[in-house]
Amino acid sequence: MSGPGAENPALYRTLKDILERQAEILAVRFEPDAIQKRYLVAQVDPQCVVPASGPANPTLEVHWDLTPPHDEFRIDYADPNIEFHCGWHQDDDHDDLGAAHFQYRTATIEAPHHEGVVFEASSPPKFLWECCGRLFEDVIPEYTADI
Amino acid sequence: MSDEQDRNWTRDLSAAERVEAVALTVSEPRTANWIATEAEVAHETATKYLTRLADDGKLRRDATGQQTTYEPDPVGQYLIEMRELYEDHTADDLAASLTQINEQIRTWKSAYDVETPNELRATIASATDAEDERQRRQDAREWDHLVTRRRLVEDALRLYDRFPEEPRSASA
Repeated sequence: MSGPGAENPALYRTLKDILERQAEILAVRFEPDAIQKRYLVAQVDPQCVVPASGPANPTLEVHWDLTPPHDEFRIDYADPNIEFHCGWHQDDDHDDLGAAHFQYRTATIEAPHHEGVVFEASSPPKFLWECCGRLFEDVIPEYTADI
Repeated sequence: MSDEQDRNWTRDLSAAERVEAVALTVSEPRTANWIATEAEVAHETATKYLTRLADDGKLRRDATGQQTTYEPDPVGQYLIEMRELYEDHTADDLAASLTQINEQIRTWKSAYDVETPNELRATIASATDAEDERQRRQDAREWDHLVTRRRLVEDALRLYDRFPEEPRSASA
């Protein structure tokens, strides 16, 4: 499956399964539909995040491209109730921050804040698993407590 | 609440599930050792499940080099996906999606005045700013993706022609 442009349909099927295993996630769907499968959107239970949010469901969006030697991806969380956005990106933006970077934005800050990140995982499913851990166990509690 | 929800890669997924998840998403051929490390299983455990996945046609095994490597089997994965499209969607849904895909591709061709995703990539150097550059790169990737999906949808529609009377498990 190597080579630019090579498509591996098992990728999004595997990542969907990883998202569906998270206790905070209510449902996962393909966008724009399960035929085109351009990316994944998970609906998050606002009562399961800490601190609890609502009434609207926050979302977690996952775009992933297998592009050796470094995959490109965007994992974006958005809580419309408190206008909080954050995500982990590995793309051509912010090369100065290393391969992957984390960014977040709240209603009160003008420009998104970026920082470099290091993950243990090398494979997409394990990376997404680690991201969900950081998101639900560290990032949301730390960055949204005072919003 | 967070104590109860602490997730654990090795506790919440079985060894077989971890090996399969890692092996089916590698972007280049990998050894059993690499997959074992990432899946956090013993080498023998990884080899056992990798052999099974290769025997099932989900992985392709290459034993011609110094080390045996594994990667998703492109034909096996294509067939799984095509069958899923055939079973989960009506022919009308597939045809409607095909129309949408074609419209999207026509929009890119006209917006960028190019004929292929690689021609679009060749225009990245002349993008007006960083955002335009990012958009062109993303559109080229999505274009590649939709070309692959279009082939899959066309093949799933051919299955309808080949097996028009077959009962399907579709809820559609």
